[in-house]
Amino acid sequence: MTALFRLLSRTKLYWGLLLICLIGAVTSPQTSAGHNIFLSYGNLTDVLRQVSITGLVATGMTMVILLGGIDLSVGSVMGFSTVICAMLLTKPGWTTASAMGVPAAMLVGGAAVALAARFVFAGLARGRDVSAGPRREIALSRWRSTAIPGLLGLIAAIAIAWWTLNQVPTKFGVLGVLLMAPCLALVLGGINGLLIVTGRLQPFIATLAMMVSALGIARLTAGSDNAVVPVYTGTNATEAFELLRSMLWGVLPVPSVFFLAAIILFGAMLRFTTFGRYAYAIGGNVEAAKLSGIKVAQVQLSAYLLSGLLAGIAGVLFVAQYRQGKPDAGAGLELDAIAAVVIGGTSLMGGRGGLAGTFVGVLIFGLLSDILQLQNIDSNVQLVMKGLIIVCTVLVQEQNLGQLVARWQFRRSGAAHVDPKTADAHRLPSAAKAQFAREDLDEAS
Amino acid sequence: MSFELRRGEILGIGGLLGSGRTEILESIFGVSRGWRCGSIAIDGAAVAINSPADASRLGVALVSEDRKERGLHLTASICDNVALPSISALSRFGLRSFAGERALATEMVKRLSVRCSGIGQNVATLSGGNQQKVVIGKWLGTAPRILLLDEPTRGIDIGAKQEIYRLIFDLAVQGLGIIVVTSEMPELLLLSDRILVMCEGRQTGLLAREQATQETVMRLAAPGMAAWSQDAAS
Repeated sequence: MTALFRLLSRTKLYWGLLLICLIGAVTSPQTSAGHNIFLSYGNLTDVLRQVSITGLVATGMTMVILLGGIDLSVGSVMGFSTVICAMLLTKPGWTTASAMGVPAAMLVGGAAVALAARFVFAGLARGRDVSAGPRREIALSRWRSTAIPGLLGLIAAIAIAWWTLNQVPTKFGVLGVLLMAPCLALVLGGINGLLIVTGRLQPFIATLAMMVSALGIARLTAGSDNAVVPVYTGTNATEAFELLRSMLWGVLPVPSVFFLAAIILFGAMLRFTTFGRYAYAIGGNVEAAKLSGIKVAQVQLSAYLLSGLLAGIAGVLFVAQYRQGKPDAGAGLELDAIAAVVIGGTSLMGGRGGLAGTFVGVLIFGLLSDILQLQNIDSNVQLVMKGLIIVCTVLVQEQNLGQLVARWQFRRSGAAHVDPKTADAHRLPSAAKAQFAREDLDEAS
Repeated sequence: MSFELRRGEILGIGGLLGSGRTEILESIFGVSRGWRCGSIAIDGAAVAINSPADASRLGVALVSEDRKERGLHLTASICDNVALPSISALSRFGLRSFAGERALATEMVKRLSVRCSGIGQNVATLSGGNQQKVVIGKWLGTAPRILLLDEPTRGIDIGAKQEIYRLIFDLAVQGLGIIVVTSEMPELLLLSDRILVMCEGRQTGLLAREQATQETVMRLAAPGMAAWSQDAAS
């Protein structure tokens, strides 16, 4: 019985998702043929398509929040990425976008290839077996640690330069924008990371600054304040860009393929790689992680880089979806992403949670607004409902509900025979105590 | 200050609170807080330790004073905590070896006789002594040559204390160089082969085992209060 209850309480997030689906199915209007609209394939894939952009951003946000940080800049970075993407698609020749994008793509591509090469060499040099004796030295020779990776990186950078420069006089194709816009966003994420890691700024402050300045950069790039760069595939942009809003093999919408791939890829990364374990360790106790020899700065920097990268990809998908690039495309997106992450059970203190939760959190939001839309309910009601959902799920999440119950029980049992004069001395158990008591009970049962 | 640590030796560092004992250990381990200078040589070769990662690569391990704040990832399991500094050595191409981590944790739990329901237990639910053993096990897993222990028996019960003393002696016999910082005089006298005494950030004496008594140590640790310490000793 307790085991069953525990299983239920551990998977309650999924039950919530199921509940929302049930509500949707029951309340959904029917088509004239008697089919349930909510459960129809088209509707469900539409939900997936709509949540993909927030979902991608929330994926990056989860990594950052797991480390105990926060990234407020993702919305603006995404807006910047939409502007870059739209300009590259529609304007031939050297524009601000291509002038920034080509060097950024060279830099990022070269660095990525160099790091990958070095990573492979380090992996080859290392044995799996530590029982072989004391910790083996894994110092790579200079040739392998710098020369070959550097050379490969240079080659990659030149290749990217050649490839992109060829596209500058004409307009960029799908692959071109998919490379350049995320690379620029990655650079912005990298600036965030560097400010936090080397400048020792609070993540909140550093990313707040980036949020403001990225919006400015996006507006400057677009040329005027409320500039919208429209993208009409077939007339002013390549027809192939339509691919990013089509259905993959007629089954899955392409944006959701990106979203699902990101969830699976980074979920696996958190679970199966040292990076993932380091992320949890740093979020759980940064001092202990540092003293354990973890390169905290590297891990933190990569989280912000990834967050920027995913915001950049989300920007490209936004352009595909809404056929325009505008600087304030991502206004408020960072808060949606944070809300989805929190609903998914990731603690803002870091060290707890994961991407499965974020996936569910994003879906809960998407399904909710879909249900309300099917009922023709005012969109402002949706906002109120969103707020309610956030509060409810976070209340239901173990620790908080446990505290409430403990407090209530204490009051019921103890209130009667506590002298009001000494009541202050034995006040309610502190939140932490209640939590510990509960966990002990859990262990005992 | 200047001292050397021999293979298989236990060097105790005594002194009053705030005399800079923890800072010495942290400087050796590369946890820089403020300016550091000086040099470290291991096996006669000068080494540069600028970060805990450097230190652990060179086989130096630090069990810090405050296990909850600086030693443990409290929301994780014993297995995760023990394996943390070794994860990278156990992994290949960045992929964790779960079997290797579990084997390491099982071995350490057995070797240090940590009382727990299994290596999956959350470390926050362990007793202080067992938590301390987990922190020590975490570092023994990296096969260190030099072990720095900062107040290894702070806030743990007498049984666990005895086990930790025995462990320290065993490790010294196996040839590790061990530095122990402790505020407890009997512990200092019991464990140390030599005792380095500090006062206000300076080394005031290096006593061999035979010379070391409560009184001589106190005299060096608090020169101004020599009279007081004599009273206390008698």
